[in-house]
Amino acid sequence: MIKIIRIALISMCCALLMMPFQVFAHTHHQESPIPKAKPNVQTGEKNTLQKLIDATEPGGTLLLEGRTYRGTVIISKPITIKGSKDTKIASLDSAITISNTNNVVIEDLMIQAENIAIIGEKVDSLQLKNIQVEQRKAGIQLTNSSGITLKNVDITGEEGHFSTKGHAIAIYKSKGVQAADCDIWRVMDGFYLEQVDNITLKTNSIKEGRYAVHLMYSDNVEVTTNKLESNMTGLMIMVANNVSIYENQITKNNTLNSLGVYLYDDEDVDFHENLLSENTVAMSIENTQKMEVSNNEFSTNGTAIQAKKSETLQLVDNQFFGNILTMRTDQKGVQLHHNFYDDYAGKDYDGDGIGDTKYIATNSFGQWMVRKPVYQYFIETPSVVILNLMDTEVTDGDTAIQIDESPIVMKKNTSRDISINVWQLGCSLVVLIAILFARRKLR
Amino acid sequence: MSTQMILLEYKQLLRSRWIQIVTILFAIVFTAILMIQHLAMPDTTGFTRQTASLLNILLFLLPLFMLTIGSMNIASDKESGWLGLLRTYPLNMGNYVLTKYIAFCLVFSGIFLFVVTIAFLVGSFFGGIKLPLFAIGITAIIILIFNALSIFVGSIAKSRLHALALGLGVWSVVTLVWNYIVMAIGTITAEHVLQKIVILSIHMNPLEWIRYGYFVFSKQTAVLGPALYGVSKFYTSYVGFLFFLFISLMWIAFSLLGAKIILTIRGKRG
Repeated sequence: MIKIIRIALISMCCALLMMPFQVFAHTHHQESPIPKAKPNVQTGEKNTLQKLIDATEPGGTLLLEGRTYRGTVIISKPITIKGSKDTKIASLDSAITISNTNNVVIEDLMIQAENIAIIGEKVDSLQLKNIQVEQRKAGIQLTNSSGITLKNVDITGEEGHFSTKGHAIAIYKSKGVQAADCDIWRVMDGFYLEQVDNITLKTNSIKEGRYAVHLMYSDNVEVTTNKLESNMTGLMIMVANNVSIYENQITKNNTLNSLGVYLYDDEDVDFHENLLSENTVAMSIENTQKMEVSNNEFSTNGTAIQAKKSETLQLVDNQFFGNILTMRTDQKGVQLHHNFYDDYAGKDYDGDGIGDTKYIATNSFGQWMVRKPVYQYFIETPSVVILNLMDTEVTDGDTAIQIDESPIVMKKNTSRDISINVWQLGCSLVVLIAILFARRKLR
Repeated sequence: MSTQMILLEYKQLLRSRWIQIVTILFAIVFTAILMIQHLAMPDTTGFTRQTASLLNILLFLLPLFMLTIGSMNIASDKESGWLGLLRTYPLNMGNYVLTKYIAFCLVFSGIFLFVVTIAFLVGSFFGGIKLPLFAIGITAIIILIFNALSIFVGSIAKSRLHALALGLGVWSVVTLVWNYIVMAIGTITAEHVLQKIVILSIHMNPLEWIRYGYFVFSKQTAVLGPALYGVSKFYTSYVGFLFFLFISLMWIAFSLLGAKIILTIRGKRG
């Protein structure tokens, strides 16, 4: 009997001794119980998360509590880290560094780091989902990686000029990047992608930065259904092949030297069904070959299209309205076909929907602006408006002008509100009666 | 200067057929531009071609009306002997000039109010229109500066026909010829020289001054390009704003003072 009691006591003591180590033993796969960081860990908060990561088996899932974890963590094995509500990682340096590994999934986290929030190098298959970053220096920086998925990553920079900030998402020398539903605000560049192959940017919203999307030396690019608003430049793509840009809204990029879209030295570009509105220059295309711009809406921009050394550029079935200048090009020009221009004054007597006379898209003043930007001061002055009218009448034989031989005469979508504004009607009637009464009295 | 005299001038101007025709013409054009903007353009806050049209209507038509009506009115006073009669009274020419100026400003403010009301009335049948705030500000500055200029032009003129010719001449120079000259100079000069000439021309031409003021105060100097970045930065500052007011006041003060001096000298010559 005494022997049995002794064995029981020894077992209990062993069990009690083992309890503190259970925190390290909770490295589990998906089906394992949820590991919890124990409150009685004596090593301090700073290392808690790193220890939890270290304790998680490769390929396992680490579920974090809804609290703040402090310090920098390094991930160098396949792992899924999943936060819960209010899970936050705060660091005085970088928050998460991922290197030389694969299959890393991080989701449902808020990150606050004084340096770069997430750094990744040589990572194969990285998924970042539902991440919120309060950016100080930079958001996410990935190098030499592949299979990168960014889903619902929200990055917010501090107030101040973009020149003092870093990029929200910077990816270098990588393959296979997919970013969707990301919300980026007040940073330098929303997406900075350099030497990246196979990129898809979809349904992202980027505001108040330098370049919303800055992409160079990259191939196989798809940019779709994004909202790029109030940036210095919406979309900047340089030295890229096989680019598809469609259904984006690129608006209000209207500061000094702003561009909605800037394409330089690109090849094989398809740009269709985008809305470009209220930009200083909606599209600037330079040295770009095999590009088609079709079914886009260019409305109320300073200049709709500015093209240099892009003679193969084709503009088809686009709508231009409310732009101050439709086009300015160099001598090489572009090819215009079947677009709608709200300032087209021709008629359609045969009723085929195509104007009977050609539309001249460029004018001398626009060309002067290309040569000497100071001339921009005179834009739409009464003198220039008259000059343009005269210009259109006398430039028929000029080979440098851009002509659309088959302009569309009706805009595809027109919406008109013809309801009566009772308040405005009443007020204006009262004021009108008052004016007429006063005038009668003063006669 | 008395309120009675201002009221008398005001009443006489209101009876003018020319003013009535001008008001109707202005109302039609202004309403048409606003309606086109409302029906054909998306609701935007930036500088569009339609905004430019609205700005140009104000910059093109209002100075024309003011320079011709104002200068001819002063010349008419001289031609009809009314000014000579007034000189037999103990009336200071400064008071005469100021009375005319206030009356002109009131009449053109009334015209603008009427035109805006008509535009709103028509627009109310199409869901209601919005009048950009700049239109009110820019009109106020045009009224203040160009009415002063018109009195100056009228004081120089010897007859109504002379006043009309002078008024149209000044109008064509400030609206069209001036810019063509600057643009032509730009074709033979370096870009940095042209930039300096443009900045100088903004300060020397009242119409360009008002137009530039619109871009500065509506925070849309980006439309004018990078060449004017430095000067625009200055005018968007507090000191720049005060300087803008000072220059604007100088245009008014020098015009009215010039008119007073000319009328006084010519009065003494008999």
